[in-house]
Amino acid sequence: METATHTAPQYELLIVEDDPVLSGSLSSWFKNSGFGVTAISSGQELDPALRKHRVDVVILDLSLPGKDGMELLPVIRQYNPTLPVIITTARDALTHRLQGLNSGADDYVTKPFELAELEARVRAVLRRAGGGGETTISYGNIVLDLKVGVAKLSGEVVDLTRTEFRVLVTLVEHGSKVCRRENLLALLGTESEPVADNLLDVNIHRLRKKVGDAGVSIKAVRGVGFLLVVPE
Amino acid sequence: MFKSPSLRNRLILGLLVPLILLRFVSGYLHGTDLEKRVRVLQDSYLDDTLLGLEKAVSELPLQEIPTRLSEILLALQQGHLNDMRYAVRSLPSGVLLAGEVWEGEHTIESTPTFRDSIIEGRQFRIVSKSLKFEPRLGVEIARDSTIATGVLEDSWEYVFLLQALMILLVVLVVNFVIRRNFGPLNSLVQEVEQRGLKNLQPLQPPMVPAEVAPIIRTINRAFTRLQQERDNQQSFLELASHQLKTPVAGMRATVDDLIRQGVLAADKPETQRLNLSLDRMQSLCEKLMGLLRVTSQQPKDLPVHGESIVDALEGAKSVIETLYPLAHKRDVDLGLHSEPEGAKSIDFPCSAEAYHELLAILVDNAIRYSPPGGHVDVVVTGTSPPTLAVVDSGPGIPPELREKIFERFFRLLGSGEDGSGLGLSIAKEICSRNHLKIYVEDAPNGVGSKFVVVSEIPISIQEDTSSNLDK
Repeated sequence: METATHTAPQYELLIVEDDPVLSGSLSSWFKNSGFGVTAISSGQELDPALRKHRVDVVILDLSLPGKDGMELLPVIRQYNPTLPVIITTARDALTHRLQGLNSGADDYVTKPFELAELEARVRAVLRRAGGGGETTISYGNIVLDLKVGVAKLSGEVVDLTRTEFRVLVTLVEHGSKVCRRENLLALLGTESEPVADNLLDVNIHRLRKKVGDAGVSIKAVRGVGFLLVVPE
Repeated sequence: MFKSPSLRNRLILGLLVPLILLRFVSGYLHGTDLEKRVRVLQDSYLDDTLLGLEKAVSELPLQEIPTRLSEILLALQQGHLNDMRYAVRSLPSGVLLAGEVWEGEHTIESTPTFRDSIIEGRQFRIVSKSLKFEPRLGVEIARDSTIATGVLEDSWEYVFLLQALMILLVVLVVNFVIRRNFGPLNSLVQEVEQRGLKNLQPLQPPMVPAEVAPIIRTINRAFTRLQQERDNQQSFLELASHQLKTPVAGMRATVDDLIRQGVLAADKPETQRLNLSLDRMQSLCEKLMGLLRVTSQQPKDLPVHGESIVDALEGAKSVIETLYPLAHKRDVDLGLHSEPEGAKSIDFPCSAEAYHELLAILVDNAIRYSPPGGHVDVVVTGTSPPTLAVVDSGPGIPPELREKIFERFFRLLGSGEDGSGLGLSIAKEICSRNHLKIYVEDAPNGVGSKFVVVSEIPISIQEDTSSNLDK
């Protein structure tokens, strides 16, 4: 199990989940990750919670008693149109997923999920929202300082070229998810496909060597992309 | 097996046999009546001739009768040399006094007696009678009846021809009427057979006989009840699998949290067993949800072939992304291969949701049945018809089980995998609902299996595929 640590300023997280066990575990996990957590179990508590507390990101369950998550999304948007919202649901059909994203959610996670992955997604939407001014991102034993462009693996600074650093940032941002090859190709700033392909392979090759000592590996997912594997 | 005779054939037979018999009887009666009429006509002519003769004879002096009789008969014969003969006989000896001999002797009665006879190869009608004076004389007048007999024979032929035509007409009319009346019933039977139990919408035949309407109502009531039962089952299944996922998520989150807090050790066998149980529960929930999605689709919601097209490469990438963590955990190398190599997108005739679900089942299965260090390849081929294949390096499937593995709840013995036995049956169901064919064969290198999904109706999307290469 890879765990993510976080050195950025504390965020306020609102959890809307009616299952007490799941809500309790989420609260415990995110508190340990340095988040401020408010947990509510129904739509009725949403309005007071949004008014009373500062909220930077919302984890919203779709199946709630009374008004369901889909009906609560507009309420959240009315309160703050840019507030990042991650939907969690037991409905995993593709149409439901698209419906969730089309209705204004920033991300969609199907139950059951790994908490580390959910945290990575929470951090990703927070970064995209850009409100927190977060300058470092981390995954496993990797910590990347985005402002100065420095990578630390198990506390040791690793010397990376500018392109290698950008590739690593993208891989870290994907966390335990596969990073598509085309996402990495887009970083290389060349239109020519064969050149970009070769350039990417060279950079991945060099990166593997540099991060390998710290137990980090970059797995090639044939035909799809790459996956960053950090030591447990 | 004993097959009960068809109602239509029984009706046709039941109507045609009496009708044909009736036509035969009526033809026979008609023919005999005609024959009788001709006979009466013929005989009345002979009778009239005989009466005229008797009248002429009665006016003669008695002694002149034998000589004059022949003269009168000769005179009568004058205009009918060919078709009339006569004979005058002395009675009771029967000795011929005048006229012609044409056959053996006959008893001549005092009343006119008619008979048929052949004279010089021709058909004659003969009347004979004894005259009422002494010495007693018998007169026989024969008239050629060849023409009348010919007419009669022709009439019989005509009657039979007419009856044959009538029978043919009756057969055609009966067949037409019965077929026409059975038409709606046949369409109904066809519709019910085609539907099976997949479509439980009420039957609404445009026109059925009043006698059949109660059967339709009963079938529709049964359909409605079955649909309600099915809906209840679906609701239960949905509730069971959907609501189970949240507690599973709760348990998983608790395990994650406890591991991070150091309460549980991730590498301890107890923790691994707990995770394995959660994995199985999650997998079962997902299978049940998949089954629910597939079986709850109404036929009207099903895609018409060629209506939905999914980008098979993008879909495969998405499935691989989802399942790569499982493959990585099991040390299985999961990858994608496209033919032609380097294609940017490949069209596949299927809805995106069905494609995702189908491929996820196949890849999940392939990962679970591949040994550590093994590989699973998703191969998308863009030729016509486009083909999707999942190749694994597992133990392979014996040829005799290659049909059975697609049956619900069938599980391979000795595989070490504790699957639900639902995945491949759902895959098969998805295929049958999307006009796709699924089968399994040996992997190309002889180790493992290759699951192949191919469009049942080849559609030409070659141009699209080649143009996609340039995108």
